[in-house]
Amino acid sequence: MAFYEQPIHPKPTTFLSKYMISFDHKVIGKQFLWYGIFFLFVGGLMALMIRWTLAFPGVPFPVIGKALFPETGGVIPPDTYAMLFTMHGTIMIFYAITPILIGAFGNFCIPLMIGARDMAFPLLNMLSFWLAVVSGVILLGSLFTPLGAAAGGWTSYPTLSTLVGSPGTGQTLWSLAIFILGASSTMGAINYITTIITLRAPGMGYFDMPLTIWGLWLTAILNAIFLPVLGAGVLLLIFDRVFGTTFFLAGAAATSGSGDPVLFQHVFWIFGHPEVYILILPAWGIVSDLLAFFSRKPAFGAKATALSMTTITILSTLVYGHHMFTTQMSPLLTQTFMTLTMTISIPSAIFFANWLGTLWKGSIRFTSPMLFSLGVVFVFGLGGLTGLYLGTVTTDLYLHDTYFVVGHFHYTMAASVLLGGFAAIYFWMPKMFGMMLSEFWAKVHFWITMVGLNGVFFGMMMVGYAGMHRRLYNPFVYEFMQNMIPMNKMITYSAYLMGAAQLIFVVNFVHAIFFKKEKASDNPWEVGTLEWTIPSPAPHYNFDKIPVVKCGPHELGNPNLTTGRDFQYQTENLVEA
Amino acid sequence: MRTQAEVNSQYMLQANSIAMVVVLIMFGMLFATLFLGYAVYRLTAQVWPPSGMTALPLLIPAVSTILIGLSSFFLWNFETQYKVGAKQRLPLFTSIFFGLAFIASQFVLWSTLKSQGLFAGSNIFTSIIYAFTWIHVGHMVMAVIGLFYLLPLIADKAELKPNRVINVAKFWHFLGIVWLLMFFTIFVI
Amino acid sequence: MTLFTLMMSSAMAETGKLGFWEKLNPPVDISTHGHLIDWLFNYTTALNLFFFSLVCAGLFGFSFLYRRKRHPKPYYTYGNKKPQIMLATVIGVAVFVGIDMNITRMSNNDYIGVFTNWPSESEDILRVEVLGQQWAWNFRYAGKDGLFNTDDDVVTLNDLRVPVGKKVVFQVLSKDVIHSLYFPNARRKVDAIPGRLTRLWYELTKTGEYDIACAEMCGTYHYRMQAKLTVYTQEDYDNWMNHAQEHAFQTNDPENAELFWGWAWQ
Repeated sequence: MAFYEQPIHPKPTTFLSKYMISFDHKVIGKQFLWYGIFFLFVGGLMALMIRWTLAFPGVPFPVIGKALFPETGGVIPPDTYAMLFTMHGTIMIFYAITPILIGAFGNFCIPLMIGARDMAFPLLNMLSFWLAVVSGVILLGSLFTPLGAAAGGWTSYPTLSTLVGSPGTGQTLWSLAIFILGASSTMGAINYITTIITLRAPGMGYFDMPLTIWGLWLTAILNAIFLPVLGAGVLLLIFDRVFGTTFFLAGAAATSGSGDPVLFQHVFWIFGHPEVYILILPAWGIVSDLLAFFSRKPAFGAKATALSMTTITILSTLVYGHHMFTTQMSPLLTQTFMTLTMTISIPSAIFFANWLGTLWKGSIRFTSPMLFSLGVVFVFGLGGLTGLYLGTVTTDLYLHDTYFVVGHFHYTMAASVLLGGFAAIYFWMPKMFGMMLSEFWAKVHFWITMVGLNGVFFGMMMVGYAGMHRRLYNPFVYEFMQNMIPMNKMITYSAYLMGAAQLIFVVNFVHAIFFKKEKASDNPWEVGTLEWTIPSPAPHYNFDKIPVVKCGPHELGNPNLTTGRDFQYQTENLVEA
Repeated sequence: MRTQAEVNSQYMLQANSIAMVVVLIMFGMLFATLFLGYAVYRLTAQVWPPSGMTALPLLIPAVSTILIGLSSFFLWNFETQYKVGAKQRLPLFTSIFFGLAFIASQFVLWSTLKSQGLFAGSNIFTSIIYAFTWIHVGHMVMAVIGLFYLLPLIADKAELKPNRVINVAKFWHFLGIVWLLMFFTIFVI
Repeated sequence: MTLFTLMMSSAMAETGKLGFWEKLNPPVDISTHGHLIDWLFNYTTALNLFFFSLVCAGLFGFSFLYRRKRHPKPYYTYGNKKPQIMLATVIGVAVFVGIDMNITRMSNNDYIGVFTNWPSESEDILRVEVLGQQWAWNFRYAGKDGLFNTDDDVVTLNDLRVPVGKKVVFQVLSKDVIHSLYFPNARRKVDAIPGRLTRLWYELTKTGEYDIACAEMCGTYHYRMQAKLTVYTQEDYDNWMNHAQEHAFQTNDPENAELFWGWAWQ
């Protein structure tokens, strides 16, 4: 039976075509990975500077403080502090998580796991990466403008983000960088959606796709629909700043007719809420697969998990107003958003139950990808439940803009995605680079990260509950926060511990790629999805012959297997009783 | 049994159509957000148009509408004939001509507004007019580049690539519909 | 959690030194309705603890019971059997009805019945207009004539004084960027938006001095946008107000446009 297969291109030979201007999705994936890891460290350093200021106000920042801030003798000044938390948020969300989970693993895994030789549009793919680089350069460049980078929070609410509140070019460059990155991500989204729909290997129905692909597909759909909304909002902000339009100006500044700052909030959160699901869906998919692989049994209720993720994708578009309860929208609108927000619990609970069902009566191997996946189950369970406080209006009126929110979203977004991302790196390392990372150091990395992470973010929820609000340079001018100094110190110590743990990862990673001699086998984890049917690292054409899929992605532990393996490749017929 | 060539071209068609649908949804959402903003501003304003507005020029936008309509018509004409293998040069050239004329008419619109003292920062309504038309023209420029991209296809020896024509045309017509909506909601009512 | 904290606070009140948990409690609740929020928070916590302990039991329990050495043969589950679907749905619905709808109902009742249940104009309420700016809070009282933006208005900078036992209604606006009027001790906040009026009301029960803060990023000195809330007995409040009004005529200069930022009560 004839089916479409992409041609096999000759192997690239020059340095430029192999590593820089490559059309190969695997190379582009690795480019995004390096890009994301670089920005993860920039954003992480900023976080450590923020934590330093909160724990030790008035004390110069160690090592690089005096060089960066000579006028204050090394102490971080308040306007720099505002820049730090703004850029920390922006970098982590758009320049670290998106490139690593969606750019790197999306690009790398999708064609391999569905049995294709490359993405549907390789040129578009390459352009997507280089556009992201342009965006990154603009963003980092904004740090060196005379008045500094954007400093109005990553949410850049007007009128603070208009010329009234942020007179320098930093905020304009920030807006431009975000717009360009949005263009880059939507180009990626077009590619992912088209590739998954049209290039699945023969025999691979939608429910034969690994859940990783489900996560990436749903993410791409949300990206395609909602990034343009952010694009429009940010574009109008740029017009306000550069061409003097009055979309978001109000109050004393609006000398020539009034705009509506709250409209920006609506537009931002119409994008913003789906965005947080965009960030977590790949991790959900990856964890769903890894839990099955390392319990050596099929994912419990895999179809239900896929459908739950789809339901959450749809529901996420309807709930954005819970970010805006304190702006006093009409009571009816407020109530509607509260009720709709609550409905997301149902599909979340379903696939969470499925995760636990996967572990139940499995035969669990505690490899590093598994440890990180179990970590995700823990932190997402905790983080997700704390969302309930923020979904009910009355408790939100107290908790809005406090550290409780910060703790909540770091648990669900940062902790879960970080742990999921590390699980993915440890898991796909052999396929990407041809060798395994040291399991011992991976486990050390895991445990120290978990301790640090929980210390930081649970601590934040505690101080938030005690009333400490956000984006404060020196919280202790307030009487009611004097008690929280010790807890803030504890959060900072945990943050530094967590930061130090990442160095273990870096050393492990760099050592493996550049210095390790021992090559990995084709299928070191002994699982049956399509990428493990080809050599490690994957050859440039992926598949010599396009595979024909005969069974699902989690065929493990079938009692009727006679081959001596406890799993089946997706290309093998399902062994029946 | 289908030949490999048939399978391949069917794949191309499917992949391109899906990608084009995603692209149109994307740009649709961008413009939808702008229209949402416009609706909010207009519905919550106490007086509309905002005080101090002189009457908007209606002739130039009407001319723009006719120009873009003609451009779409000739492109549709070119597309229908191309799909059955007939490479007609004239409709494509005419379509590009009217497209460029549309962009020129937008510049005329802007200078007319400025001569009436209506600048981007004058009030919220002028902000909307300028912002919308700037964004629309930006997309039109991309679309015109798309039309130029079709020019090599009309050479006598060129291979038949109906997908490319169909997709560029979809984008072109999409922008025409957006303009129609803009014309109606901003200038007419 | 509430019982525990009650025990702790009574113990600590004796010793005068705050223990670990005391430090992490929200600031003392001085309003008539703050307890609704605190109660709902604690109730949600109880439900969350219950469900999260189930999750942990599953996570840690299964990790222990089914680790490879102990459980070498996994239980093969293939396809989507009815029991799987039933179980997942039951859990999903249980969580939804058990926690979500429960707390939503309670929150909704509080929201509609109390927090957006504005006192009627005929009641004896205190009206205060609040203007947030970078980086201070301005408060305006109507004065004897009962009208805002007249020269007998009492206008204060970062200094809000209210009596106990009386409903206070605020109308809040911002001069420049978005701020947020935050009363930690009353568990309330409302955004101060340029060009759009927002409202808040509460009734306070304890005298003393408390913090007011800004809870929306508004620029470099957002962290210092601190005001003081003084809650008086009715008598002390009247004394202060009379005294302030005498000064008001003297300090309110009709020529100074900057002083007359108020608006007619909406």
